[in-house]
Amino acid sequence: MSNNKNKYSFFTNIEYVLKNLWEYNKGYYSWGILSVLAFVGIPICSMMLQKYVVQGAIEHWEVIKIIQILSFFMIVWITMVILKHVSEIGFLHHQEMNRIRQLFAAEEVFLRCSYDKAEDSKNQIELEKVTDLLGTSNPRIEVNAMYNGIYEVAASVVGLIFFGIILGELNYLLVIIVAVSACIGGKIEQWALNKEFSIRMDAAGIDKKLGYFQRKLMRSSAGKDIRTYGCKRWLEMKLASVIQQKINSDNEKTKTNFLRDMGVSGIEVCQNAVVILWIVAGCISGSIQTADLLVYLIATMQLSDCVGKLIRSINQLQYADKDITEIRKFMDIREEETDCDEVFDAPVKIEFRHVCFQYPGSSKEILSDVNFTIKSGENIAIVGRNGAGKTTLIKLLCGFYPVTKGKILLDDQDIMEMKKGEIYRRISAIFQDLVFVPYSVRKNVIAGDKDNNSQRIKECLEKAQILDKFPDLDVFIDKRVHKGGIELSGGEKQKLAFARALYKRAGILILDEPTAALDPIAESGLYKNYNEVSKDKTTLFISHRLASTSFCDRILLLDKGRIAEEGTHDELLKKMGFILKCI
Amino acid sequence: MNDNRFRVIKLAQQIDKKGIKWIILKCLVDALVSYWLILMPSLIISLLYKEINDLSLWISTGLILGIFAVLKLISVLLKKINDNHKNFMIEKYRELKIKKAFSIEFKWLETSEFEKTLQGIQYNDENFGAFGNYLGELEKLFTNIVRVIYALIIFTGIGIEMYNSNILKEFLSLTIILCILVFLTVMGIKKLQEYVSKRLPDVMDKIVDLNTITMVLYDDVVQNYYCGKDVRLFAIDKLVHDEGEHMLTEFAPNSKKQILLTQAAGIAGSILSVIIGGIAFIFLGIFGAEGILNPGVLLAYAGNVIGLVESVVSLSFVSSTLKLWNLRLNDSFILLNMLEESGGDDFKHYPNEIELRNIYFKYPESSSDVLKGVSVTINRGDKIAVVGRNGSGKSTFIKVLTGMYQPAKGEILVNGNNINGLSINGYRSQFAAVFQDFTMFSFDIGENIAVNQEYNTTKIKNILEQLNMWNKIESMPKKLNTFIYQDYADEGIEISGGGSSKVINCKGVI
Repeated sequence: MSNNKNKYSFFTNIEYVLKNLWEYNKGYYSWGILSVLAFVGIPICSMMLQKYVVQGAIEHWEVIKIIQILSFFMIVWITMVILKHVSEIGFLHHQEMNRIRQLFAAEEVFLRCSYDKAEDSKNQIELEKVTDLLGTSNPRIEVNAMYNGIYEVAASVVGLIFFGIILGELNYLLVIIVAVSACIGGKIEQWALNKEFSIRMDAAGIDKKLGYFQRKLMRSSAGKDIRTYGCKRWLEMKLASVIQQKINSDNEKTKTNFLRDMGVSGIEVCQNAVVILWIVAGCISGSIQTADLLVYLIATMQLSDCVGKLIRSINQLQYADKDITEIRKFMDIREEETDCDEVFDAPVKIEFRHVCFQYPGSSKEILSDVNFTIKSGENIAIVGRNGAGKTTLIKLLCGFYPVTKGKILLDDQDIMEMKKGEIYRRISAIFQDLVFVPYSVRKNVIAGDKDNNSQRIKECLEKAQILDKFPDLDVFIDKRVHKGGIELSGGEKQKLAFARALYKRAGILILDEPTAALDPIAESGLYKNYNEVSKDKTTLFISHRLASTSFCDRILLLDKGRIAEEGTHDELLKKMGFILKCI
Repeated sequence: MNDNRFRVIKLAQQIDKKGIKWIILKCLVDALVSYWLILMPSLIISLLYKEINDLSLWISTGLILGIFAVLKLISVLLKKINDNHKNFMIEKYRELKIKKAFSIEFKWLETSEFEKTLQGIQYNDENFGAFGNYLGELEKLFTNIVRVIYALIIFTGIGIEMYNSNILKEFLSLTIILCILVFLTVMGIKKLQEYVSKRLPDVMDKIVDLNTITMVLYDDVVQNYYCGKDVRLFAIDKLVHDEGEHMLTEFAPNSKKQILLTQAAGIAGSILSVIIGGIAFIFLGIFGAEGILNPGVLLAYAGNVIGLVESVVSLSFVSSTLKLWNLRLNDSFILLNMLEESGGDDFKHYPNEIELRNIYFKYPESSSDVLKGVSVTINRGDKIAVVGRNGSGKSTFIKVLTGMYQPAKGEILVNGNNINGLSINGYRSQFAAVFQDFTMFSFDIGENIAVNQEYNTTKIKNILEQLNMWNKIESMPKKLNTFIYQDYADEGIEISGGGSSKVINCKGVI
């Protein structure tokens, strides 16, 4: 627990953000520094210009001198303003790019972690939360508050130092008075923010009711009933009371803001009064030049602003802190080792030894003592009712979940001792839920493979009986994002997935209900091809239709988590009665 | 077209008669406060320069500070009053829209155009708080106009002072030059805005395109939780990663362009204001060095120029922002301008006979008649079944019969009298219809049945007992006060389709 605390503490979080920015978006720092420079420089130029105008008038300087000094400061001032805007743009740009990069990285974490973590609904909810946090450039969302907060802290500290020194020339007591009063102002603002937050929480119920009126009752489905039963008067009364509640809640917020504004304005007035009176006394006694009045006045306002900004930004950082912790925890989910350059295209021998399996956290045994061996190159069908455990068996074979008991061996090697990449490289599959990327046919067939061979792609598309649909391999297969794209029907999608499965040179081919979306003609076409494509691989064909497995060497019948029957198609037909009960 | 520009103000005045007046008052005071802040140091410096005696100096300084404090106090008070009025206007505006939806002619409700209007209201108006933001921009408009007026007043005051010092010519020429510069600035900003509005849509389109691809990629691959197996076996994460990198490199320059373009006009305005301010300072410095003027007056002039430029630049943006917010309110105003049905009381007696004579009817968005010459007489006590194939017009017939829609041709007679002169509500009140897509309102059961906030518990209990439903309700902890569903009150219960239809049937019986 304490380890956790240290790992995700406030300062390590800030360190994380800073390091990330340094690695990918150094521009944040360079533009940030220039921005801080402008932030301090602009008020200084402004105060100098005003000071010298007054001083030149009082001391009757030569015209040349005045022109020189004022022109100098004017040019610096204009430069500073240009610098401010340019650096702001650069700064915002880098901030935005960093956020988007982090968003992509978060999404990729989910793709690279182990499968059991990805199926865990807790992680799925976390993914959605994290992508929500990173997914918007709304400045009120806390992640952006972190970027902003860091900059504002830096800027306000620098401002504090500069303006503190300037005002300190007058008297350091003044600096303390201004700083302390600004702190009080900051605390008042904090109180108002907290109050506003709690009002908003309380009002959540009212907002829900209002939302109900707006979203449901304005529609035609409600409109019929409203008119049939004359509900208008009743609903209008209810609406009026909800609206009144909302107005009351809004007015609560106004009252809070009023009190805050009174406090803050009062402080501002007092600060200005103190400084002005001090300076007037100084001018009367001759120890201060009249011209410096503006310098000190502006310095006061800037100092007070900086203190307020510092307090606000530290609070901002604290709010953002817990969101950054959440993001970091998510990013720390471990990747699997999927890098593997070897190709395993020789047919694989598969063995299940006393395999038992329960999903983590559940007591129901999905598979109990499953034992079978598949020789390399065999074509096996696995049949059974829905819920018998077919898909789970496949998931275990692929290494997606660790077995609860027993061993699974590929080519006599325990898969628990292999790197995930080595397991994945041996297996090619078509599952029932197909995923495609919104890019070209080529990319979809090759997927993550390093080999880009157009000839082989065409061969695979032909074997999958879909070559005619794609005369151009680089055509996009998604119309939603590419206007010239192609729409694929359900059957065509399965054929494309088949092509992809063929393209990968793997020793095991798994087909999970591959004919579900195909019409009978396409289905029989697939079976004709099946013998050919399964020639030099070990294939597993999952189905709940016994009839479709007649071309397999052997059939495994799975029932209630066990291998109930084993044999060729004809052997099993003889035991018809039992089979019919199971399918 | 002109009408459109003032529609929000007219609506606001309709809702809250004093609302706009308070806004104007607040703007007057706010502008005054901002100018007083500029003038304060100038006044004090000018007092110091004049070297009046100490006591007068202290009193004057105290007075100046005192005025500042009072102005601040008034402005804070006015803000509170103003915010309360704004809250009132915004919420009442919402209420107005919802009530309108209850009252408009039913024939529009089922059209796809209305559906689009509702979506437009939700997305463009409510989502962005367009009405409130429009009022906010209006405040900016008024404040800046008042600031310009104050600036001109101060210029006049300074002019008088300069007249007394005999440099009116120099002062006037400087002022005219500055005004020309300000004018040129505004022109420049307008031109820049035009340029931006031509270039921006292309950049935005590219960004939207890139965003769409990214969204689809992640929706289909990452957030599609069923596809983790394929992703891992086919190393799709590598593909996604490469595409992500590619996306970032394409996105970067477009994002920069977008930020630059959207801020271009503002930046130009800011830089030009500073240039004008700087020029003003230099000339004033020269005047001051030549010993002509009280430095306080110089400062006041400089501050005034800067204030004026800021206000004018702001104004040049405000009008386009106002237009944008107004645009977002289009759908809301479409709704508010729709015709309402006539009200009227319920019928007091059940009729003996209802006759439909030669009814022709077609839906607003279609071109062919659904009912063609339907004539039927229904007598009191009749039990009638309406049957027909899908699409034969059964539901339409019922909707016309119950007064949901009005037929294009033909008449409806109640007890031999044409219903034309009667109120729609009254006619409808005779019917209790349970449609296939009925709605249960997410309020409590009792209210749902009684269609009223107050109801006679015994009467409802009796009816529910007759329909064999009282037992189920009695078993609930809150009985008739149980809320249904959870989209209104968190403590609602979930109710099955069968359960809800039973409740609806009760409503029908009552």
